[in-house]
Amino acid sequence: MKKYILFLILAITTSINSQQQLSFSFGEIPQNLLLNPGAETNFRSHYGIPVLSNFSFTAGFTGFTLADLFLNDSRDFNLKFEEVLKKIDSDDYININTVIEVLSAGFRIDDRTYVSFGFYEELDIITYLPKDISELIYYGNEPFLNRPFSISELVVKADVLGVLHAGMSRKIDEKLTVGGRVKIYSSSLNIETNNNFGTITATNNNINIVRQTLDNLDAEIRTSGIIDSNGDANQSSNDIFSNTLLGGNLGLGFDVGLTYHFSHQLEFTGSIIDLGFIKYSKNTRNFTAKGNYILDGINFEYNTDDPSDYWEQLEEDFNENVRTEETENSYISSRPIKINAALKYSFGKKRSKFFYTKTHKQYYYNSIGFQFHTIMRPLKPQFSFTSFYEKSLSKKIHTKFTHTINDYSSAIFGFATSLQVGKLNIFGMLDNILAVTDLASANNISLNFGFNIVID
Amino acid sequence: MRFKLVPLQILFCIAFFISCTENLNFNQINLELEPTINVPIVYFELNQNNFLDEFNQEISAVSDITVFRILETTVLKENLIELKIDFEVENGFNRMFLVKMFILDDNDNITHTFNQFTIEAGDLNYTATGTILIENTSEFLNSTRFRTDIILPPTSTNLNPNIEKIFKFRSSGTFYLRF
Repeated sequence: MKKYILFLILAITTSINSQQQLSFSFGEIPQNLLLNPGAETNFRSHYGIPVLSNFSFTAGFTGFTLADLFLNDSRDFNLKFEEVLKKIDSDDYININTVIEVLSAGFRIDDRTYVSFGFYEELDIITYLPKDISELIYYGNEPFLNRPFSISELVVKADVLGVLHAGMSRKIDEKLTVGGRVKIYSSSLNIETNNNFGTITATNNNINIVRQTLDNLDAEIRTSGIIDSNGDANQSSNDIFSNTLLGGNLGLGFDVGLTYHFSHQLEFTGSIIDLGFIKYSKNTRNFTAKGNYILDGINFEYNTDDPSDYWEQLEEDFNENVRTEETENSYISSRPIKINAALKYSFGKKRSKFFYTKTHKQYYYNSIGFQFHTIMRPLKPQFSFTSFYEKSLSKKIHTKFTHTINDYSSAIFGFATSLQVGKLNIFGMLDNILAVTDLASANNISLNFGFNIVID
Repeated sequence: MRFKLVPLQILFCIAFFISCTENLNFNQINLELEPTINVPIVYFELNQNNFLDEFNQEISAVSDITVFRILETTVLKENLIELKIDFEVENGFNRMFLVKMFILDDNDNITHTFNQFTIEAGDLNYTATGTILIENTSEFLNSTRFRTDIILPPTSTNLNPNIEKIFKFRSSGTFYLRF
């Protein structure tokens, strides 16, 4: 028992910096079904501990580290900020994702079929770092005469949503298991802007000392749940939460997945998650701007017979050439599709496990493999390539060691544990062991753990 | 099993506690933004006809004025530290000009006066800079109008309506902001 308590502490503490995808194709965790509805399940039923069955938090950023900005030295913060601004480029991003599983359960219909369902809340924010716009705001245009500042670098997508889901995995034969999941999304808050175009440039010219040029501007920001129909932005956190319970903007999605055994020792698992969309029609407020404009200043005409209202002319001319619009139109936004795949080769000592069907299955204590994860993001997909080694310390304790290459780093070493204490399954994951000792230099911080009752 | 678990626990506990004592300070976020924004202001070209009436008699001064509303924006009102205005003048006339410029509020009260420019005859490269420090002239933030008076002092050399002469005036403003 003491061993289990120690391992429980270990599981929680080590999951401070982990990544949810690490659990893909690992151990006998019910939450595998959320990452691959075609995952093999060998238990009779499972019940997630409400709110604690699966919690994950990930914050990642590329282009700089926490130490670049927040190292406790005597250097001026502005100086550090300027150095970071110099380092980043428009492909760099900040990504925050949190998933809290509120309810989760599953049960077996027959020897081949397992049904699972549940509800989780998700917050997902990705904002690319618009270097041009950031430098324009920070420095102004005066130091950058003749430099076009691009508006296209402005790419943001943020969602707060609840997901009600139900899925089924079915064993087709000894080699193949397939599965699918249907999801109903209820989004309470969304803001997104992408596919913006245009530049703003200050140049010298012969008409006036400086010319400001707004060239080929075509920008749009779509929002839902931020500004209500009265034009107020005063949604409380309670409103935001309650709207995720099917009271928000609804959408539909699907997950599909499979597990295939080439042999007793070689296994392939793959899944596509969140093939879906959300239609935003409640409290939507969209802003667009489109056009071209050249500003040389105000041209005095010295016409005493017909004095001009130059400022009004300027405003009219600008509004005529740069059309801005605010609408409450509904819009559709696709969910970020995730693709997972893993190839695993098992070897070494075998172990047998008896299942609900009174049959037994043989497992190997060791396995190695590769896994691949990608998520479709507004600018480009994010990829992770992972090699792993799995080791079962006993029939109840499984471990996984990984090396991952992704946008954040090429040297991310991870560790995952899954522990069965009676009917309680506990899992925890750590995906950046090296960064734990040097958090200041880390690009990503994440947390993933869960507690479930699993009945064999 | 004990042999396998204890080293792992020690490793991760040490790592966890070390990570919590990283030398980071999130209270140092005191970012000061000090952008400088360069914008065109007023430009014009005058020829000899602007200084001659219908009887080809010289007009000693011409004047024009514009409203501007940019200082009504909260961002500028609260964060403008300094405004620097650059002037460039090309005087193609064989006559001297005086240029007077005033910044006014809605009630025509002068909120800022620039030093008078004296542009000598044929001076094609006259440049000048006017600087307004907001802390010294806070009433400037109430400004809504910009007026220029171009004065042609009388001399014995009269303007010829048939010989084109050009007087060019250009200006740009640099707004120094602090957030």
